[in-house]
Amino acid sequence: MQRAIVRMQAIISETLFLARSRMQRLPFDPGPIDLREFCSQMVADHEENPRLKFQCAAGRFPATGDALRLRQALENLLSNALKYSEGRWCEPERQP
Amino acid sequence: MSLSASPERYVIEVKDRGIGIPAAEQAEIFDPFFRAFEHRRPARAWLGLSVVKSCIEQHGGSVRFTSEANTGTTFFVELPKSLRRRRKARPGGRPRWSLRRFRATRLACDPAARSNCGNGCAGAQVPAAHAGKLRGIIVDDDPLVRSVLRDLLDASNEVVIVGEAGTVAQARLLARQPGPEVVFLDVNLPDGSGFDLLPELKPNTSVVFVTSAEEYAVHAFDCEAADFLLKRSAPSG
Repeated sequence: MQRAIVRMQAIISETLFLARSRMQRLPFDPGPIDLREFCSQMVADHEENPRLKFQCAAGRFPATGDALRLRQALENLLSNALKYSEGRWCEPERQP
Repeated sequence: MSLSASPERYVIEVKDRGIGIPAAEQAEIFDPFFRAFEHRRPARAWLGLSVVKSCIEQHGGSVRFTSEANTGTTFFVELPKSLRRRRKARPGGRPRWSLRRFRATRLACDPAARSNCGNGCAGAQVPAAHAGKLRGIIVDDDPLVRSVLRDLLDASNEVVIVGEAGTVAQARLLARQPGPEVVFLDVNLPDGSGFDLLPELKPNTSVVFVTSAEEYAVHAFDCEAADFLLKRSAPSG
């Protein structure tokens, strides 16, 4: 029974999640974005946090995306990273 | 934060040297209800990651992470270089897999499959060989839960929901009408317990408990529950 409960737990939580996304009717309005500019602007917006750094090769990184939603996602990751490394240093590393 | 490119995709890395995500919680950080655990460990809850996942997946991308306690966490956001249009929203926005999974759940409590079930289910009565659809009611004080269940059940083509109730009192009224054959029943209701409703139901009614409190499971199956669905830590049970 324990296994069944765990499985049902997963089903219910996933469906509730999907329903929440659906109920919020989050719009998706993609357009051209240069990810390099986009990310570096986001990091610049956090100038009060000098620990946060941005590292990227030169050149263009053309992509298609919804700027609002991408920003929402990345802001969340950045603010979590800053919050949970309070008092420590935070530095990017090269992609292996 | 760093950005790099591979032939097909971009990878945005967000790395910290923080406290890390405890191993026991790593599996559930993308869970929309992960916040529900905040009361347990307020300083460590990672907020809103299910939204992050949803945003990135809208772009045809994916999110993953590595984390080690007291060393730090790195999130990898991968985005395709060219946006692959996702399938147009399904009518009613219903994901196809949820129907399939729900059917699997139903099968698990089907009498024919019950011999595999071991314990607890032996007394359950699901009128499985019903020619038409089962008449069902949903009793839950959370409108969201009701709406989700209704969607799933509509999709299953096996149950027609003839009523919804948010309280025991409303449920009693519904139970008196041409009786429901299956009741999806929450336990903690504003005016009492879902168990209070059981004496009011006709003897051949199947009850599927839908609750966030695991401790009711044994009692539920004692009451010959047909099934027991656990909601993940919804705040108001």
